[in-house]
Amino acid sequence: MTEIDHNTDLEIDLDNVGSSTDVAQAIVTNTDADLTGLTLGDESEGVGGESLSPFRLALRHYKRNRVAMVALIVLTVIVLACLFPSIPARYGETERLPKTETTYINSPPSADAWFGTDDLNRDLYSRIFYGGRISIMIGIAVALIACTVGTIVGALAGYRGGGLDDILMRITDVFLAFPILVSLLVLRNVLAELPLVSTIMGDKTSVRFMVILLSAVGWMAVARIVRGVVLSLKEREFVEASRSVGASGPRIMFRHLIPNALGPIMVSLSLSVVGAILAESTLSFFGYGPSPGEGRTTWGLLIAQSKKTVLSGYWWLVVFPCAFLVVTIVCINFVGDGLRDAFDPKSDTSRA
Amino acid sequence: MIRFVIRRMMWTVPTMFVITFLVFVAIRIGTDPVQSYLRLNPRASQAKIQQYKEVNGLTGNIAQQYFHWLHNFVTFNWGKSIKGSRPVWPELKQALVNTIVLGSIATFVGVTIGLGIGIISALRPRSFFDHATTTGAFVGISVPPYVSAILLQLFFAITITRWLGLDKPLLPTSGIYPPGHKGFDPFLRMKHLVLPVTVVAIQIIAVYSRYMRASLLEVKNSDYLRTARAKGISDRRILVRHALRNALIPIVTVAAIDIGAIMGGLIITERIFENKGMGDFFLTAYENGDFPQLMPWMVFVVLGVILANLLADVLYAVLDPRIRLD
Repeated sequence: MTEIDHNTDLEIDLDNVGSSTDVAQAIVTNTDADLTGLTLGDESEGVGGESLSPFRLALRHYKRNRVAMVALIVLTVIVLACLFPSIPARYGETERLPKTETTYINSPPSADAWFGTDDLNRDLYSRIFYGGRISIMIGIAVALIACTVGTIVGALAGYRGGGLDDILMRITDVFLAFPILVSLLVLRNVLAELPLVSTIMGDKTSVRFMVILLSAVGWMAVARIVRGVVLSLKEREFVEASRSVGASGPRIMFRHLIPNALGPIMVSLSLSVVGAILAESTLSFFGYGPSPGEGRTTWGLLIAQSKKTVLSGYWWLVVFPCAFLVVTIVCINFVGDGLRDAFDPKSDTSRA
Repeated sequence: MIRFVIRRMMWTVPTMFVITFLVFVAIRIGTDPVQSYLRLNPRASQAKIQQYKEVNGLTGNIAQQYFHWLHNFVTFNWGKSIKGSRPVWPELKQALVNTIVLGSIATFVGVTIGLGIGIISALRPRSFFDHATTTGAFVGISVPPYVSAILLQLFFAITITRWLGLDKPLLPTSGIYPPGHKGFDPFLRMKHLVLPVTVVAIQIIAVYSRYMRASLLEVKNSDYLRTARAKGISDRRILVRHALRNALIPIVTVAAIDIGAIMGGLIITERIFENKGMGDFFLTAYENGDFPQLMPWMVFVVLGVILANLLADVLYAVLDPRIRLD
């Protein structure tokens, strides 16, 4: 269907006849979209006839999605609690509790240690927040770096095409052919051995190394998504129009293409956070993750340590870290899904 | 079609050539075989090291080393592992067999259940079943395989055993046979496969039920289905002959891309359940920096991905008669 439409458009353009009707049609559909947005919204805001920016429209869409709103609230609570772990935590990160009747080595949950204690009699409840800080900060840092690099490379490749595009596609083809864990492990060793890179990135087990390693793999998915969006956007009338009035390449890219691709970029930002948190915890699980220092931990490390005790029946060491990790990822995924719906003009508004 | 397959097969040769070279360089930089050798044989003399280098083609520049490796690989002279100095092929073969068993059972179970759930929820959108499975699929995607694996281990090895007061776990949580077992026993083998298959299948079910639901919903609103219904074709025939066949086309494409993700899940699952497959083979070789084991493993993975893509293209043509491969 879409392909046929595309072909007729091209033909009309070639004949230099229908371009004005095309523009007219675009305006008509745009006003249509605005009208639906306005009639669905609050009357007080809509009556004035002001048109809403796509971003405001998306925000409004998002607010109406109940699941996504709940997920956002839960996620905010978890992220804030982990970024400022000393507020929710009851004990220090490396603090060993005094040996009492309820708190001893590997003691089950009790009033003194809500989630039980580990093999060094440390409070698991507090350690989950301290561990979450590193996991979530890695997730956010990687997502920001990967999305920035991926957006720029993807937009350039999609807009310019040619050799850069070919190189991008071949590199990502090779990497995406392997399971991500394999790519990460192989690249981890390569980056650690290259003389110049290793001085910048520090030790294999440092958090900085982990952030750079995950970004080095993570930007590719973003770049491919942005490239695809830009490829379809650059043929649209508004880009042609701005080119015809003499806008430069960078201006078109940063003022027109990237802002219009913001929806998919936001979605891939949320996917990158999930990917980074999962990759960090998977690597930690196998013993190749960051080691943030003596006694300090991450969610991946907590789960990895619980693996050893699972057959002894210390269920609290397994269940609580897993639950925090899964709830966080479920929430980010729901938020990402909500964003996708909100930015997609075709999504049905009746669902919310 | 056969001509297309042959042509594509011929293309795999240069593709493999380039990718194996890149992988060779990457692994060669990352895990220096000489260093791994020294780590395992710390008191090796200078002459010993020189001899090791010459036997394994580690002299000369990287291109020479690659061609030396390629020559040995093609002539099936795969050498010995650095740790334990065991021949590579028998272990790799065993790992390949185990992974194919686990992978194909899990894929079959996962795809069947996943597509089934997707079809039912697309036929009754917004029903209770639809909401429940959509949410379930969402959670399923968000649960990393090692979390579901470790929770299943906990549940079957500890919780159920305590509830029922059994003296040994209901389902085995590691290995492919009990320790000390010899020979082939299909029942025991199946029992050991239940938990790993479940872990891998959960991921597949979650992904495919969503794909199927979205794809079938899209097809359901199409004009040709309305036409078919107007002609008076029975609902059942419409679903099987028209709707499902068209809905499967995009899924086949995604399936080929997904093979990497499934293999990733297999690696993790095999490690946790001590299922001696390709994933376990890779992680052990990686730990030991075992270059002679890593390279053939990589070749098999790349080959697997290329073949999966080829299979997807062929299936594509089977499902969509408009596509002619020749």
